[in-house]
Amino acid sequence: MTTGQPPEEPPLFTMDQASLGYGSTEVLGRVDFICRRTDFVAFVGANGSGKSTFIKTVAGLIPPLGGDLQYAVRGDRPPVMGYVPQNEKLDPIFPITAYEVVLMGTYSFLGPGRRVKEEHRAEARRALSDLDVEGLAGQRFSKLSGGQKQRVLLARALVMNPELLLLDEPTSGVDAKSERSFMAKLAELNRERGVAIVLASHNLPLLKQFAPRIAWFHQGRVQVDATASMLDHIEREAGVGIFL
Amino acid sequence: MMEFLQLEDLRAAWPYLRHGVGMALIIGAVCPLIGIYFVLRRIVFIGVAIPQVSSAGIAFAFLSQGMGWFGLLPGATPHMGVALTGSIVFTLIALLSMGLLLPRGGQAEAVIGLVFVAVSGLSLVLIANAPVAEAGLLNMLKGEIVAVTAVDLIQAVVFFGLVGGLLLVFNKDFLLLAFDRDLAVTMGKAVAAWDVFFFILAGVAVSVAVFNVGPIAGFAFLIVPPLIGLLFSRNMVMLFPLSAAVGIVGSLAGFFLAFRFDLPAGPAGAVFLGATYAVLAGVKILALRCFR
Repeated sequence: MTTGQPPEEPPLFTMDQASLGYGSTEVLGRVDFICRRTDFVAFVGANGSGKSTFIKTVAGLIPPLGGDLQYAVRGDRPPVMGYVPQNEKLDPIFPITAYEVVLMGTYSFLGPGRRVKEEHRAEARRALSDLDVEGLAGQRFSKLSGGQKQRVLLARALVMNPELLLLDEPTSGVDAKSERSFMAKLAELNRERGVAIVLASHNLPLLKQFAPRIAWFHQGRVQVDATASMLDHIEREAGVGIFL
Repeated sequence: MMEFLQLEDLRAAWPYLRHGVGMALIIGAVCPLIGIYFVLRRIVFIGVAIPQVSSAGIAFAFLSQGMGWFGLLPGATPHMGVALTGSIVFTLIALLSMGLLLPRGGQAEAVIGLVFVAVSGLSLVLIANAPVAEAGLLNMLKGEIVAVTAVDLIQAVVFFGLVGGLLLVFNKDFLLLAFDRDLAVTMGKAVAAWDVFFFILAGVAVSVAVFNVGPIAGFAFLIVPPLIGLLFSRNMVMLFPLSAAVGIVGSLAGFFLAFRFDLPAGPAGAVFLGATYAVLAGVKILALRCFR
């Protein structure tokens, strides 16, 4: 396995011989992985290869079955994580607006029963504006297109001021133009705000254009963890399409 | 018109009815606030089964009193505190078990259906064997809200005031949990504790509602006002007051229909709410088709 990052950068989280899965079923085994503060890492692999399992484990949604998962600790807290789920996971029965969805991101700063303040509302409006979806604020979330929903969910993650963004198939069901523009926005966030990005996707050609580091999950292992150019080299050696 | 409405008769009977009206108002206002989460979390079937469980708890409490179980003194007059305790205990056990342990999906619905049928039968079996208060118990299960006393009303104001107040204070936390549980976890919220807290509030509200208006109306006031609210709400902020307003209107309408046509008030309110939902949903569907 190759690693495409300089070793001197401080890690945000580290996996050491981790076993990931659900209940007693291992989906990914013997995972060694270091995510650094400036990383933009994309996971590729077939359905069921463990991309979502990895992201859910890092997000704290499922515990690792074995091995070690360590987060960098600043002061006494782990890194702030923004999580962007697949948009179809959110139930359309809620009459919730795009603005209300983004406002939910500010709940991470609020204790139980604490009211949302004007500064939080302003933060939510600013995040909508940053993602160019301020015009959708009053619209029902379930009525938005796939691309619009993803931007709203990204805005929600950004109001949390995350150090790490975790995105699980963020562009599934999104048209090609919106997908490209979404990836460009992620690259900008990584470059200009220094937010580490870890995402799972199927679209390898697009990932090669935007993600400096790509990991390929196959047969229950992280088989390759390399830069996009190294991935091209491996593909030339092994045959085009081996990662699909 | 005035003659049809029998307002003079209503005015004359007001001193005897005012506690019942107060009860209808508070149940109509608070039950929908809990019911919103049953609808949004798609656990409506639990909402159907729980009032029946609550009824079985009331029946079991009366049977226990009649038989002198749990150190209760056997007597000819049913003790309402015992009944309310039975209702709350049964409801909390069932709600916490079903709400926390059952996975969502087809098999869970089958289990909830089984609970519904079993506890409905159990209520009748227990009533048949209760040496005390068979008639009074049947009235309670039918939802004879007219018989509400000042003590019942004060009790309900305390319980529903507490539940309604806590729902308002923690509204954003319950909403986050219902809409995106995964986000709540990544924020470090104690989701299991919030679930338990919610089901305790729901259990208390349903128990007190069933104790006063019976299982049919208890379910109706829990679920139908939020369904009507969802037809017209443009955002979450609008959904809560709209559902409570529909609940209040439904409870008052049920009370008036019961008075005017000599019907049990709880079921009358349930029928009114059901018919209102059918009409409004039909109007909305037609309007959407016409203006599309």
